[in-house]
Amino acid sequence: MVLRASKNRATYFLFTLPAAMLYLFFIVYPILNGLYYSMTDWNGFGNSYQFVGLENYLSYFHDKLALGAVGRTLLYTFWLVVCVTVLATLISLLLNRVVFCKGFFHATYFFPAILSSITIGLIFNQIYYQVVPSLGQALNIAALSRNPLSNKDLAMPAILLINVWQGTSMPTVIMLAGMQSIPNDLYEASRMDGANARQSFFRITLPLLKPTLAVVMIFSLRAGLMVFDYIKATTNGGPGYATSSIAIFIYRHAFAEMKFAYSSAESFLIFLVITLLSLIQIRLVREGD
Amino acid sequence: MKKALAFLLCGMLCLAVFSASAETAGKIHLELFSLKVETVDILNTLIERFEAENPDIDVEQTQVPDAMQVLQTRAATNSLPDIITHWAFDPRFREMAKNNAFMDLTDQDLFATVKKDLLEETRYQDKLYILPISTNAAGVFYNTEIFKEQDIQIPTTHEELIAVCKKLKEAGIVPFEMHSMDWQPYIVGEMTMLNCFEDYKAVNAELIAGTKKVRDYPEFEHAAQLMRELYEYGQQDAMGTGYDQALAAFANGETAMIIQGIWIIPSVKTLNPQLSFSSFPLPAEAGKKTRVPYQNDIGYCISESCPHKDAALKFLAFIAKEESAQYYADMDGSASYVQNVVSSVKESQPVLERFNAAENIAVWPDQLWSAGGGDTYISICQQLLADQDMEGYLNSMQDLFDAK
Repeated sequence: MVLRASKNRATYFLFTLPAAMLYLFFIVYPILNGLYYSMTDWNGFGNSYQFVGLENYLSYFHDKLALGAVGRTLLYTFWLVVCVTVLATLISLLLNRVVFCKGFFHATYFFPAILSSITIGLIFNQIYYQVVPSLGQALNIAALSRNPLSNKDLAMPAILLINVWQGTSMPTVIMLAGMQSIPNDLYEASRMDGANARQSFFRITLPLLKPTLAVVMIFSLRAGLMVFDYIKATTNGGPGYATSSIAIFIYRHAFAEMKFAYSSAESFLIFLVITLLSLIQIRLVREGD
Repeated sequence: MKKALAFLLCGMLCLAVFSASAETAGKIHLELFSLKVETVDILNTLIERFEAENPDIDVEQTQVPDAMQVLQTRAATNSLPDIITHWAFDPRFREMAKNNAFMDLTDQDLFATVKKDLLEETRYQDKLYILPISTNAAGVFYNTEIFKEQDIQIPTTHEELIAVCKKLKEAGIVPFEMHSMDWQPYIVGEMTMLNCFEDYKAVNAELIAGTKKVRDYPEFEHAAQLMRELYEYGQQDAMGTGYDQALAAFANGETAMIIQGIWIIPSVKTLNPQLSFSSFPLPAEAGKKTRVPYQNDIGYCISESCPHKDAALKFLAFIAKEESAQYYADMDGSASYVQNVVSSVKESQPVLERFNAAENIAVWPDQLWSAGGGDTYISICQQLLADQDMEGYLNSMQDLFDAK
């Protein structure tokens, strides 16, 4: 019996070995390598570099521009998580009730997810340049009679809108799948007990959707903290630094300023922030259970 | 039957492999890595001509998106291509030269045809690592028909240029098509800077060394004011306009002028082949010297790790020939580092003629800053144009020079 169990374990081990090796080689090794380089002054291509310890990490906290980007990105992330979660919940609730042309509606709401974010950025670039100012002038709204991307107060919300437009589609599908997995008899029972639609949403749907909500929120959180493509395709961080996110600075430091080690350190810090915020989020979602 | 077919297919495959290797056997292969997307076809033609003269050498051009990042990655993994096109003044070029990525070309017999004054500027730590072939330049491009209709003479001072702008505005024509949403502010800002300083290069050296501060030179504030003044004559939503949109507007005759580099000429011609336009250098204020900014636009380096340096040198010598340089200048429309070569593109001539005598030209200031300084400067200029905060501008400029 014991022999068979250990034999089984060896088989399981051998089966997981290829995946584990790939994971170690392509994920763990680069992460550790990045961690090592973040403690050097490597420029990204040279053969020589010095070990500088935590200097890159410490100098990050004196980098006014980079710290400005942290605040900006956190605010952006907050609004992204709120908008995406609320919209995805509302849309999936509606889609869950749709009977007529179900496939069409599902496909329509999923459509933005299959487009590349750069393509979407470029399309919205034209919308903001051509359509929005015409609309703003026709409706006599001063703020919108110019390209919102040129206004340092409106540029970030304009990019947020693009992100929400695309970012809601995948969470909607996940939420819809979550809702469809809730047994129907629970709703029937609640109806018999006299619960209205609002009560059954807050007492049945929402509590049972908590694990799905946690996944959606973590995805949005990560997308918000790492926002890059939309900014690159629209404002490239401008006007001034109004839309320079953490990831834009990581990119700029690495590829324009050739401070690879410094940008590795920045990446590690953001990795820690994402991990921390994700843990807090999971904790909060689970707390109510 | 199946077995026979399998044998036949295998046989054919082997034959194909052997015939392919037989064709290329004995040839030296060189990889030419180009950082300039626009010149793929021009370089391929030059490669064909070179291969016809040198049948034993096979040159293959590599063109990839995000070429600079790919190049950096290849440098990091010690797999640099044999020949690389680069820009002599680019801070990233200097970084690579500092890391011994390139072969020292100083003692090579390559530079006989290259203009001496311009060549000297490309030295890095007293050595030549790059064979410079062409240079870009920038100025003001104008719609000749609008100028003719409004009876406008080419302005030779900043004051005259502003008078032209006022006249155009009164006639209901937008003087400048600006696009400060992306990188244009650095062009305008750096041009006004070069026109305000008597010797910007010397000032830059002092600022980098830390012996002087930005506020020691009132020229910085003055140059920024001139930039701001020029933007006042741009279209309504300059900050919301990008490069492509601005080019389209200028090409369609919506505005009279655009401050840009000579690289826009092929695009403008493609957008509107009927447009009649020409150029002039962005003029300095009365009593000051007008300078045309330039940057080496294509240069060739050989990587230190290239196993066939003799063949690569042969290719560079071919590129430096007057004939090759003339072909490049005609196709690309840029000014040449090679003597006796004048581009036949007429729209850029008023800006480029200064390169014939190498007078009153100056390297773009951002090329003298640390890597990434140009990108930072764009943000600083956008901030100034958006906030009108001159104090903030001067502080940010000081930070730019303090950055290591």
